[in-house]
Amino acid sequence: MTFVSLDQVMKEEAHRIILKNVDLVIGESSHIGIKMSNEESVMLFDLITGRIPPSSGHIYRETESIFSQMKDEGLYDSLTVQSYLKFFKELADYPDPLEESIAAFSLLDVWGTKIKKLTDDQKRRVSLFRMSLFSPDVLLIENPLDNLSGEGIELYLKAVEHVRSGITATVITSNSIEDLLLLTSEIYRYNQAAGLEKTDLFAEETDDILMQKKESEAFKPNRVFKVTCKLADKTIFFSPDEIDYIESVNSVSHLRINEEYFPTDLTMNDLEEKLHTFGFFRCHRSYLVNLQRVSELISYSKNSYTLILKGHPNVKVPLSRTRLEEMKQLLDF
Amino acid sequence: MRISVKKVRAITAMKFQTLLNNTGVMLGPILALGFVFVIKNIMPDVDVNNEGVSFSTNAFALSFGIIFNIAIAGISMSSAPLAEEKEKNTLRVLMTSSVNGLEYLIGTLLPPFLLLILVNLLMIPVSGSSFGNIPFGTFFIMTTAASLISLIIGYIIGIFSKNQAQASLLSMPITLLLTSVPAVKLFQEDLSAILDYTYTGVLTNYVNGIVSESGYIWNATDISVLIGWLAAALGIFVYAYKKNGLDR
Repeated sequence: MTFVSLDQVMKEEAHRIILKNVDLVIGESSHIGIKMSNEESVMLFDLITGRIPPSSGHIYRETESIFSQMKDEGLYDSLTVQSYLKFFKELADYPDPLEESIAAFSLLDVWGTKIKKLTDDQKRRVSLFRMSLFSPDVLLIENPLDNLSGEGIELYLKAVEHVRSGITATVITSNSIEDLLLLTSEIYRYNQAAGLEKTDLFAEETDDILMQKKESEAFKPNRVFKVTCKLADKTIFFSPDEIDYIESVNSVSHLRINEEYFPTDLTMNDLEEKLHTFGFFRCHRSYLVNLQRVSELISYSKNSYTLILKGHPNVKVPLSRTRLEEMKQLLDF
Repeated sequence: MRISVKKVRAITAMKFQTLLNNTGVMLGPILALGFVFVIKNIMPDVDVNNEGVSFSTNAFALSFGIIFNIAIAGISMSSAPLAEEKEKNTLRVLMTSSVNGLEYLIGTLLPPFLLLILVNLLMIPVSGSSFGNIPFGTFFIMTTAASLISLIIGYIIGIFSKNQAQASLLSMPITLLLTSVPAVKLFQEDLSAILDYTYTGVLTNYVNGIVSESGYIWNATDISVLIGWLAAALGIFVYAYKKNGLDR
């Protein structure tokens, strides 16, 4: 069942186009992630919830049960977690006792604590708990993992899984594609020229296929290699050691160097083959990471692993479960 | 717009808790009672009525306290929390949680309204007057109507304010004007007749009347002034609400 669909939606504000060419279908149990800015996110959520009409295009809503959580939203600081959630329980007419869900949101220790004394991690879970009381069909969440600690991310992912146990569809927006990889299964990037572009997320290959592939590949040392990027009328050469990681977006490989992205004509497979000897490792079908830059490996849940890069604590590169063993062997840990 | 009694009740209960925990807002009624207590105890107990000029310490203390409570506390009790909710984006959360504007307004109006009424009643013994000497029905109607006007004025300020600082800035001249009425009426006879057309002026005349020998008698001017202020405040409020909404 489709809850909401957006067809060529455009919205302008103060003579400035904020959203353009937006096509999106939010179906039952879909988990959509969109990389976009805060301003675009606020506008998109307002359009989906019906708070504002689109400037052009159409939005079809099959449900009114749409709830949103913005990054800057506040809670009633003087209330305790219990009284805050009890208040929303009454508003939502939620039938079950709140105590049954405390564990899923990991809030038992702060149940009687005033909200002003909670950490950002805990506040984010209180907000999620609040929305879950309304048994929403569609849940819109902006930047939920932003500024959360490692433990906070782990507990938030657990809470999101609990909320998704029914037919609830989630649309999560973030500035970080890595956060979206942890939270969603269908990822889009927004840009004004093309609207929402789907990001490549291939199905993971099994361990056997991977092994066979590796065995068949001959080891070819490369002493000198530069990755080339063509930008307008110039060609830029990058040494492998300059690259943090390489990401595939819409079948185009992008080199991440410091805070910038540079597209290259080489495919991920070509790059993997050529950069293997320079310490690059295919940690995910869409990611090739420079192992010299990796500083931490974090496991937020049983099946999700994330690599943190040296000097960039906020950059999270996903590591597939199937590739964990291979990485362990490579780094001998 | 449909109203759910259950939701209004939930908002009222929540607002009672947040109001009682809001020191900034609760300072208004506490200060009103405190000032009246101090005035009563430091001013000489005078009750004169010579050649048309009358002054009673009890009446002055009572009118000062009631007007302080109704004008300062009343306006800030509705403007500050609404501005705070807008500033912290909690109002947006409520509005997207199946609560409509009318449910929110009724639910948030009740706690400060009941608190103002309670403090108005407490003002009688604190000012040295007694319940036996004051006609309770008239006192209740008069102070309750004035409290309601103040709360609606506060909501108008809250609607036009984006944050608490802006709400305080907008409230200040209005509360200064309204609270200065008893003192100005006492010392500026020329302005006294004009100030009779403010709702705090009506309150001052009422309190002076109930402690005088002749007592207070309802008159068409006072009733018209109160109804006029209530109607005007409601009219501006509806206009502001329709133009701005609550959470913009």
